[in-house]
Amino acid sequence: MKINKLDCFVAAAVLLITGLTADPSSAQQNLVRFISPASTLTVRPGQTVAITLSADTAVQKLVLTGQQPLGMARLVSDGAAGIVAHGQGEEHPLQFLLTIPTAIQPGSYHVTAVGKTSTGIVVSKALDLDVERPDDPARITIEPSIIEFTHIGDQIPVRVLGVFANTSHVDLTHSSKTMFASSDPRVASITSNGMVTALAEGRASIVVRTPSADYSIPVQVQEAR
Amino acid sequence: MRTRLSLLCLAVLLLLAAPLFAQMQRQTLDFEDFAGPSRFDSAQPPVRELSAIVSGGEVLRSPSLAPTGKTAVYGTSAACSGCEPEISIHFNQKASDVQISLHSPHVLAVSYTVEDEHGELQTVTLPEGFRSGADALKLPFQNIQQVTISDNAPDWSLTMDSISFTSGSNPVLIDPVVAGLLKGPMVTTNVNLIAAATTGFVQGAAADGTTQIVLRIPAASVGQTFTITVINDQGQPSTSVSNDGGIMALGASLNTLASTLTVNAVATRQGPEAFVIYRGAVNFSRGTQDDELTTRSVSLSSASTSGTTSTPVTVARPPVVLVHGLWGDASSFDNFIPLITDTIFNINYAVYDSPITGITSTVPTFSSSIESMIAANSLGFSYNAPGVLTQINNFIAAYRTSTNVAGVRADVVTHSMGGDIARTSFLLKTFLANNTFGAGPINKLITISTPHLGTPVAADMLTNSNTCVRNTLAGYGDIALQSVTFSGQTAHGAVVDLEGDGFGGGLSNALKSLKPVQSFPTAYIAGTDTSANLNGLSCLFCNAEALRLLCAGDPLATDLTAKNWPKIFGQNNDAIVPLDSALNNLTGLQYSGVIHTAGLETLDFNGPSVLDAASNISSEVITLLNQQPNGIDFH
Repeated sequence: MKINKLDCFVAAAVLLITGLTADPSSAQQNLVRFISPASTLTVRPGQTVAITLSADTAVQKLVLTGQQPLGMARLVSDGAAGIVAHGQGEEHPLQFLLTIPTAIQPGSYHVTAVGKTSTGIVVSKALDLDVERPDDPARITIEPSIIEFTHIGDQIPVRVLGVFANTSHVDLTHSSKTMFASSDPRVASITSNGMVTALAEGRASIVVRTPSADYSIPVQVQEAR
Repeated sequence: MRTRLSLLCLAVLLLLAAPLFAQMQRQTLDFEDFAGPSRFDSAQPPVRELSAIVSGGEVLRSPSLAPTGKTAVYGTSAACSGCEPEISIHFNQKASDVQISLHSPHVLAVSYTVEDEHGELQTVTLPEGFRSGADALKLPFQNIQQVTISDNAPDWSLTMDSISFTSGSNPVLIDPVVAGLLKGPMVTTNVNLIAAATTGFVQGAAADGTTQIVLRIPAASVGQTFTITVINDQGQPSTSVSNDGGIMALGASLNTLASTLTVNAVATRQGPEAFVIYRGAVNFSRGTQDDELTTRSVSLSSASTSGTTSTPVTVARPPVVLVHGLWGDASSFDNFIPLITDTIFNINYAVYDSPITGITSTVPTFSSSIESMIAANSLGFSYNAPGVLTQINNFIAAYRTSTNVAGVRADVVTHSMGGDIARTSFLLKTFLANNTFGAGPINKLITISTPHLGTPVAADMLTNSNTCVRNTLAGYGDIALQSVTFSGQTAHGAVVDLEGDGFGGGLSNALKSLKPVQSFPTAYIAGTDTSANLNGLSCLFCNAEALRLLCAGDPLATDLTAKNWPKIFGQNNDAIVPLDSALNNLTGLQYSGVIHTAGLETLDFNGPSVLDAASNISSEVITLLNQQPNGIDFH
């Protein structure tokens, strides 16, 4: 019993320490602030985006990272190695350049600044970039072609693939131009990210709305006997 | 007295006519089970359902062109890329009394092919074109094999629906899963149910060693004897149940599978009929002659005193399901060429990358901006296995619909943690489902760089001393978690599930639970890096150096050099997963000069990754998909 109590105490202490060490508090978040662009910005694959932020002088080192596959941004105003900056206060904003890969999937991507102070880690609020292609696909394919649920509560994601004139398939599931709806939300629901959930036995259709056309996927929910 | 006599006569007449009813069944193809756009865009593969194949156009759902009230139709148009100005309906069994609802702004030309009394095919063109508008085309003829409907206008456009026809004078193949003919994990022995089946007609079975279909043979009388023989693709009686599939009686044990069997017709409410179960071949490829084929064929010969009929059976490859790894999604396989572009395979992607919402806490903690990026691909095996299993089952169902071939199992190819998740799915109570004949939906498992024995990097990522590295990588969306609490539940993080020293020690509970599991034939592929893959870490003004500078003092940042990184593992590795772990301490296929994932290239490791075409691992997977499940590379 003593051992168990000791274990509990140690575990709680470890959790507490972990929390204190790793939790970038909101106060720390404010040490780094995006100035431009305004969230949310729509950008195109291949485009280079200029991002300006201010970092408190308490921030000793700082990098700007984009959600995969964006990677790290290049510092153009200051900093060692062209990537790592240091905070210079409100009067001296830092400017980074982030190049959007050409092969990226359309959708929303977070960009955050991660820095280090003498007391720990600081992570900024997120800047959202909505990456969208300027052209529409020549045709669309939807996966899966049918959805058959055998258990209420099961989930299946829908993928929307576009075939563009000069490329192969591009995943458009998370594009802001793609919308989802269920013909009967009592039978099957769908989230804005394309996740279908079986809610009750019956039949329904999932409607995928794209700029070029609407597509329907037949859905059947029938509990396995 | 007269009434009684009349009723008796009627009963006798019905009894005599029963065999005729048994042989003829009315079927309607309405396209309701097929996906499609609301307006024409591009041609689809042929629609195969019931005993008909429709080709030339595409399925439209909720179309504006068709008559109101139609939720799904089949059509063609000049606006449809790759569509033909004519639609063909081919009947696998000769049909009669064909009726089709048609809609077109133009006058249509209709022709049909029938088999005459000498067995010769004759093509007949209707003397008058079918008029424009919406109406029903009626062909009150017998032995129709194909109907072709053409719109010869430059701006052709036509849609059809509700193709109804009568067929069934020959033996038919029925998928008992689709037709609802299972009792537990076996085909029902209730002959009345099988005789009454009007759905689930198929033209073959996947070569997965598990799929069963029923051959239903109309008979002239109860007790009529049929000798059923599996005929191979050389036209000879089969000598290999493994290669060509085998047959057995209803209710019989699988160990009675044979290449020939004699059965007697029994009485059913539809008239006398005989039944046998055909179980598909164990593997699609019997050797190099099959390695580049999409399908091959056998036939079932039914010989009786009234003659011999031959029922062709398509032997098809099982579908393939790709499962990505930690922090990945379907795009992880974008360069997995040639497999993903090889049209002989039915390729599907199981994904688990949906955002996790309603998060109230995480261990370790992250800022709210990082929390908002947490997706299912950062969560552990148990959280993701049910969803992946559901998707595998659904891909198999979609395969049945699109190919008109029965199938209950898929070949599963996994990268990294995807292999652990696939193995975890076996532990779910729904895995050995009745609709897989109790065998489960995984035929073969091929794991690529899967940490079966964990990786020391996982534990490193969760230590406090690597907080800076953990938060910086989290900015990429690569979020290392011990646990997440959201929407009233707490789930393991993926990284904590991946803990292990790579030799077999220090395993997470999730990996320990998999240790005794050897549930399906599994082949292991491992990559190992070389100095060429690590040289990039010595860069200046690069991401690796930025991480070393930013997170100076974090052990993982310090070790992010060509010299130190290999020391983390103490054995060969692919920069993330140790060799022994990827091989599960067994024998397997090893590829040198590759890294774990393309994502490492953003930290200045040099590719190719194991999923790049240049690694040649994709070609190796094709070889394994062709290999027998008890082949040299499978455990």
